[in-house]
Amino acid sequence: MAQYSLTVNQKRYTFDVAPDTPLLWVLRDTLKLYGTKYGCGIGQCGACTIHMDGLPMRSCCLPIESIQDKQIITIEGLTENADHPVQKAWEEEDVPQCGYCHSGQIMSAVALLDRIPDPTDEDINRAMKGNICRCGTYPRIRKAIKLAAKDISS
Amino acid sequence: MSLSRRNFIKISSLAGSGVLFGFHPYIENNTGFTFEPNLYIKIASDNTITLGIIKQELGQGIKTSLAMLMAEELEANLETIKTEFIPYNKEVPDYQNEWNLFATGGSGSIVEMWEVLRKAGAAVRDVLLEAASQTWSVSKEDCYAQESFVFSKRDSRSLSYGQLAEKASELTPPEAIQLKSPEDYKLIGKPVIDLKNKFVKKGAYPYGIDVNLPDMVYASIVLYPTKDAKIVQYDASKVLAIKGVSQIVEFPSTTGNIVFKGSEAGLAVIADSTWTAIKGKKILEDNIQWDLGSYGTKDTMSLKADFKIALREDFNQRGSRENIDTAFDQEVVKEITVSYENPYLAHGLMEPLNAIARVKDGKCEIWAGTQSPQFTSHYLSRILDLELENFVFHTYPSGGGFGRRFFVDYVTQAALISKKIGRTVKVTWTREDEIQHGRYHPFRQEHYRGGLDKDNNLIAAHYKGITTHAWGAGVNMIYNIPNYKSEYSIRGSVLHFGSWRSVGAHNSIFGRECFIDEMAHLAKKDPVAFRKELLQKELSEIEESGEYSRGTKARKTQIPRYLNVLDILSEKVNWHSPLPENEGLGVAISDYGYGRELTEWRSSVCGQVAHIAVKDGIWEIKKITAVVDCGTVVNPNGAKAQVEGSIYWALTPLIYEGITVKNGQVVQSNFHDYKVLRIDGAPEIAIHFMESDAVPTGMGETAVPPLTPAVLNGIYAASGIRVRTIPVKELSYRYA
Ligand code: FES
Ligand code: FES
Repeated sequence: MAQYSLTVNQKRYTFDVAPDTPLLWVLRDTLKLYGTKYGCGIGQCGACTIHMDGLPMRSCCLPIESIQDKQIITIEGLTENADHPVQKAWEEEDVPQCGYCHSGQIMSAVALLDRIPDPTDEDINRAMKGNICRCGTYPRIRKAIKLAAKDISS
Repeated sequence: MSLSRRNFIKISSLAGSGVLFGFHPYIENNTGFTFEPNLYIKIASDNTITLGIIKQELGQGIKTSLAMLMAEELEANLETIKTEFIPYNKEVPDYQNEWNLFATGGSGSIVEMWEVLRKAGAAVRDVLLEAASQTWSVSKEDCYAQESFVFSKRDSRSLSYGQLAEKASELTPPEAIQLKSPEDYKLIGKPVIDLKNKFVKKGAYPYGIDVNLPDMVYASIVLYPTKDAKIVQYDASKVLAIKGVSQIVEFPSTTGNIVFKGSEAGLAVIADSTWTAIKGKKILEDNIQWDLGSYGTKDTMSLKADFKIALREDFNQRGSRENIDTAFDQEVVKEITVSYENPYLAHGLMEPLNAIARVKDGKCEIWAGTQSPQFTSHYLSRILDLELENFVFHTYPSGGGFGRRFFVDYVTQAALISKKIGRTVKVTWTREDEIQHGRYHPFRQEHYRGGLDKDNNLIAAHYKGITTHAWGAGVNMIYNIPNYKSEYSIRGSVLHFGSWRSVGAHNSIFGRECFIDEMAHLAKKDPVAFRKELLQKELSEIEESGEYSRGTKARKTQIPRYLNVLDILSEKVNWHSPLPENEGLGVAISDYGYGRELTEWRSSVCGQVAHIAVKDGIWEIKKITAVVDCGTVVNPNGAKAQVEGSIYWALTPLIYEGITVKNGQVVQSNFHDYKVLRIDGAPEIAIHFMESDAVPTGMGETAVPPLTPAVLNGIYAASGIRVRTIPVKELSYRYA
């Protein structure tokens, strides 16, 4: 056990955990931020996607000892009123089915649009293929990203 | 007390804060229950309406569609409706019934709730109208309900349902309930956004895995690797040395004959966080020496060899018409013998299985997402030796169900562990646990011999199914084959069995629809026309015979729907228009769902056409077109989502290797080697629903079965390559 500090959603936290604890489990078990989901633990499914210094990362693969002093944003901290164009598009296109994968999907989509405001289908595939959805919401994810892109550009 | 229509609804005051209307889903069918409400509608003074539901949310949007059914008749504003999952406990009037309507599966929720929720809504609306008419001293006919308000037709007066709640609580429910006719629907049939999605989009929708209780400890489990494995020895010292690990406990096997509910034996690492427990589990796994038992020598090869033996042995006969051997000997001029095969498949449901249990002081409390809180409670009460009335099951939405959560091994484990350590425990499965200790879709082969007479009529077929589990064994041969014999054989399974979205229909429709396609090509007939011809023949035979058994009655309802779906499907895809070289269309059709008296043995029919291109050893899906007849479509948004999801669900095992077995154990362990469809592999889908105001039938699974045969028939049409074993290994899949 050791003491670590982290800024999550603009808030500074200090806590004691084992150095190899993945950020995912710090968020969920220590900070009680349950929006970030566990799906595979090995970087394969994207359910645990968060932003670290603005980049989308799989929090299950980030041992806490390796990410000291980083800025973390989770789904809960993305916006105050759930009104990011991606969040709005997600609801408007009625994307989620069970919804479990969608914290991760949304975090990946936001990062994509930060980088490429008007993505092609290929850009979408490349950015989103790390996020599995077993309910099969893929066509709606694609539509929602395009809708959000339009919203951002206007 | 017997239940009259009058007692369908029970009204109670919420002491100044509103009114509660309770109602019971068994009302029409059963008597003899002491009537206490099983479902409820609460109307609070602030005009919020709460619907208590007993169906489980698995991603099928059930909250929304059930709320729609009620709101339609209640004339309520859907936006203001909240839904609550009713916990399973002794407050549930029929909690003694192990198979009551809390069970969520078989695509049955809408079928089961269609009547009761609309009637409940209508009855409550009637009471509110009565309350308004008394308040205003006008006749009920002079009042009307809209958007959670009652208005006066005579003047501009209005009162919200909330304002009328107090008055309503003093009234008696109506004697007769009048339901709307379909042309008056305002909500049913309109696309509605899933009510939960405003929470999902901000990560605030709580699943079982997100439940946090102050007194809980965390457990990660090591399950016995084969069905009859034993521990030779294990070294716990390294695990116990981890800071935060408090103990290791063993729990016994409870599978016996009831794999459905029981769990394999295992060990649990108890710790102060999920991660610590998982770390301990991984170290423990490396420090156990197993005796793998009799299953330790089994693998996929030995399973296939056993199926070969089965093919030579006796089969269980299901049904037979005429003398098949004579037909093959004397009338058949052209014949084929073909076999189709699918591997074991795991669910890979997104939210790893988990449950919290508190077994203490003679009570058992559970927090989990499941498809069956009712029989879980019954089962646990037996194995824990606790009275059922001491159970409370708090159900949570699930991150996917797909049949896996009908099996409640994970809940059983939590309960056994909690009992042993005397504390509240949260068991979280790893993804590896989920892939390696699943309740698998059976490994199965469909063998067919089919023969044509000199005029190219399909006159004889012999079906032999071999499977590792009895559920869904056999095939529903809806096509007319004058000489037909159907047999199946159940072989011992190396792995535990389970229900996998659409259960036996996935395998049997794969075989049936590919076989019929092969016979059509052998007869040099168009695959759609060939199907229609055989269906029409079957229908006229049934009609001529005039005798309807349960089976033929179902066919009599279903075949016309098949025919209509096939017509619309061919129209939508321009079935007869020429395609470029290397492209082709494959068709398949099936029905799925359990027939109910309520629905005259109706179940949803889905036809699909796969537009396939094959070039340079690569197969590509240009488009999947699906036509569905599910009666009334309640929420087109949700129904479409189920079709999309079902098609992608079925596509995964066409592209990727299923579960294979070595040393009696599952070879694959996580999404890197048990691959599933991702966005770059998801083809375009077009969906069309048949116009209908018939009773709605299930949507959760119906689009799964036709996908495999439609795609394989399409590959054949495009390339002449006949694939009979999935995944497709002859060609590679083209990603976007
Ligand atoms: S849980 Fe992190 S990628 Fe799957
Ligand atoms: S919505 Fe269920 S896994 Fe994506």
